Amino acid sequence: MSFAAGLHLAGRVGATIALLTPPYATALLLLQAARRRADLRLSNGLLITAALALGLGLSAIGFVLWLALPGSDPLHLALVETVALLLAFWLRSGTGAAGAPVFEPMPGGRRPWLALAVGAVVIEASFVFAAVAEARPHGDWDAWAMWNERARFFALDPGHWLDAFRVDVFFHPDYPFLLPAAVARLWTYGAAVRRLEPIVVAALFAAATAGMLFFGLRDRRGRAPAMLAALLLLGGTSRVYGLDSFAHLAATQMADVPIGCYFLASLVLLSGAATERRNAAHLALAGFCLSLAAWTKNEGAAFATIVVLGFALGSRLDRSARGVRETLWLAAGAAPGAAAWLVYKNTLVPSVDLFRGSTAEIVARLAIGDRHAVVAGVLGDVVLKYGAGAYLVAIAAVGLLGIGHRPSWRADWLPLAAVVGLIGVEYLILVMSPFDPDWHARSSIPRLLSQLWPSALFALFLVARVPGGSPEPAFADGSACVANRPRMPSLAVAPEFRDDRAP
Amino acid sequence: MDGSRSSRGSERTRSRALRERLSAILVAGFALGAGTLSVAQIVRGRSPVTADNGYVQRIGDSYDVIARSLPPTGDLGYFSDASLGEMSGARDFVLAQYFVTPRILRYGNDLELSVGQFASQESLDEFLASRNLVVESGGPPPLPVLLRHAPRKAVQ
Repeated sequence: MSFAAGLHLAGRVGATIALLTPPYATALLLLQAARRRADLRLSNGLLITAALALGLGLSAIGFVLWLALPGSDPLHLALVETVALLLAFWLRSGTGAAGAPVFEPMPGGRRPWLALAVGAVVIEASFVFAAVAEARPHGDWDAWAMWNERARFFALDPGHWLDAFRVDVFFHPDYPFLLPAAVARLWTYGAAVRRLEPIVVAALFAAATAGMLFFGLRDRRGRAPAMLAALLLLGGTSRVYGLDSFAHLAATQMADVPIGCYFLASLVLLSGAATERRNAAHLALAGFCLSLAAWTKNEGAAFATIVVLGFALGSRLDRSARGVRETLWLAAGAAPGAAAWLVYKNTLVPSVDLFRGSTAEIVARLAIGDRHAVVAGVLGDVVLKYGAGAYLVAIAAVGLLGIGHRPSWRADWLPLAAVVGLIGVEYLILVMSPFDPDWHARSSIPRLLSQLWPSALFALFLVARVPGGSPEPAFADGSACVANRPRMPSLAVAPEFRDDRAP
Repeated sequence: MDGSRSSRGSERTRSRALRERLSAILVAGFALGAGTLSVAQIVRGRSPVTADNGYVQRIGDSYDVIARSLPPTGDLGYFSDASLGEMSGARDFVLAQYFVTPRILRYGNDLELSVGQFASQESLDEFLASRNLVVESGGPPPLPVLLRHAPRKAVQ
C-alpha cells in the first residue's frame, strides 16, 4: 500500500469513527452522570471502554427508532441522536461535581516484561485483524448470510426495512439485529454501502472487549491478572476454522465478538455492583448490557436469564438483606430491551425450529444416551482444541496461582457460574435439538466458546489468587472488594490492600 | 515452634512466588508463541484464515453487472444446479441474497426475473431449455446470470 493510499484509508477510517461520536459521547456522558449521581464507581479506563460498547448499542437503538419512524430522512436520525446527546449532557451537567466518588486504582508493581508481552500481542492481534479484513473485506459466512445482509436491507431501503425479515428461513430472519443496525446506521450517514464500515464496527467491538477485560480485572484484582487475561485474549492461534482466534473472529464481522462484548460488560458491572452499597446504577446498567446481548444474538437471552437467576440465588447465598431489591434493579435495567425482544420474537419473525416436536419427543431425545455422548464428546474435543489449547492454558494458569479467598458469591463466583451455566444450557439444547447432534454440536459449540472466551478469562482470573499479593482483604461488611472503593484514609494506603506487589 | 512455623511460612511464600512466575511464563509464552505463529503463517501465505481466492469478490462484481437490470425492490426467483445441502450451493445462495439485497430471493420459484447460478454452460443451457428462460445479463457460468422468461412466439 502506498503512502497516499494509506493516508486516504486512515482518513476514511477516521471519518467513519467520527460518525460514531454522537452515540459514544451520549454513552460517556450517561456513565459520567451515573458516576456522579448514583455512585457508579468505574475507573476512567473502564468508563471509556464500557462507553464504547454502550455507544455502539445506543447507535443501533437510535437507528431502529429512526427506521420505525415514518419517512426515511437521515436528518431525522441526526435529530434523534442530537436529542439523546443533549439529554445526556443535561443529566451530567445537572449533577455537579460535589459528592462525586473518586475511584482509587490499585497501587502496585508494573511488571515491565508482562507489559511488553501485552504490547507485542496487541500488535500481533492488530496485524491478524488487518490481514483477515483485507483478505475477506465482506467478512465471513454469517456476515453475508445474516448480519451485513440485514444491514443492507436497512440502509438501502429503509422505507421497507421489515423486508429484511421476509427472506428465506435459510437466512435466520428470527435473529436479532443490533449489529446490522449499527452497521446500517454508518452506511445511511455515508449514503453508500461500503466495505469499511462493518470492519470499523468489528474493530471497535473488539477494542471495547479487550479494554473492558483489562480494566475490569485491573480494577478488581490489580494489573498482573489483567495483563495475563489480555495476553490470552489477544495472543493465540486458530485450530477451529478461525473461530477460536479472537482477532480473526473479530475481523470476520460476525456477531460472536459483539455478543461476547456485552456478556463481559454485564459481568464486569455486576461483579463491581456486588461490592457496593449504592449499586442501583451498576445493576441497572448491567441489566441493560444483558438486553443488548439478547439483541445481538439469541444466546444473549439465555445468558440474561441465567445471570438474573444466578444473581437472585447469589443474593440468598450471600445472605444479602437487599437481595430482592437489587435483583429488581438488575431486571429493571434489562426490562425495556427484554420486552421489545419478546414482541419482536412473537410478532415479527417466524418461530425458531430448535424446539420442533412435541414435549414428549423433546423429553425422549433427552433420554437418549448416545446423544449425550456425542454432544459431550464434541464439547470436550472443542475445549481441547480451542485456540490450540487456550482454555487449558487459562485453567492451568489459574491452577498454578491457586484460588483466592472469595467470600462473595455474587462479586466473585457469579461470572464463572454464568459461563458454566450457559455452556450447560447449550449442552441441553443440543441434546434436545431435532437435528443431528454431531453436526449441530460441531457448528454451535466453537461459536459459544468464542462468545464466552472474554467472560471466561474474566471469571477465571477473578477467582484466582492475585499474583504477588496476600489474600484479598474484606471490608467491614464482608465484601471482598480491593478496588473500586471510595477514597477512605483508612483503606486507601493500607499495605494489605496491595494485591499487586512484587513477590 | 515459632521458628518452624516461620520457616514453613517462608517456604509457602517461596512456593507461591514460584508458581506465580510459572503461571506468568506459561501464559506469556503461550500467547506470544501462538500469536507469532499466526503472524508467520499469514506472512508466508500459509494461513487458512486469510486464504481467499477472491471468489466472493468475483461473485460480487458479477452481481454489480446484474443489478443494473434489476428493479430496485421486489422478489426474484433463484435457481442453481447445486442443492442447498451442498456447501457450494448454500454458499452461492447466501452470496446471491447478500448481493441482490434489498430484493428478496425465492429459492426455486419461477418468477418473472430470476437469478441462476450453474456450474457449467451445458448445465445452464439444459435448464434454460426446460423452463423457456433466456439469459438477460451476467455470466458466463459459474458466475451468476439474470434470467427472464423468453417471449412466447406469436401464433400464426
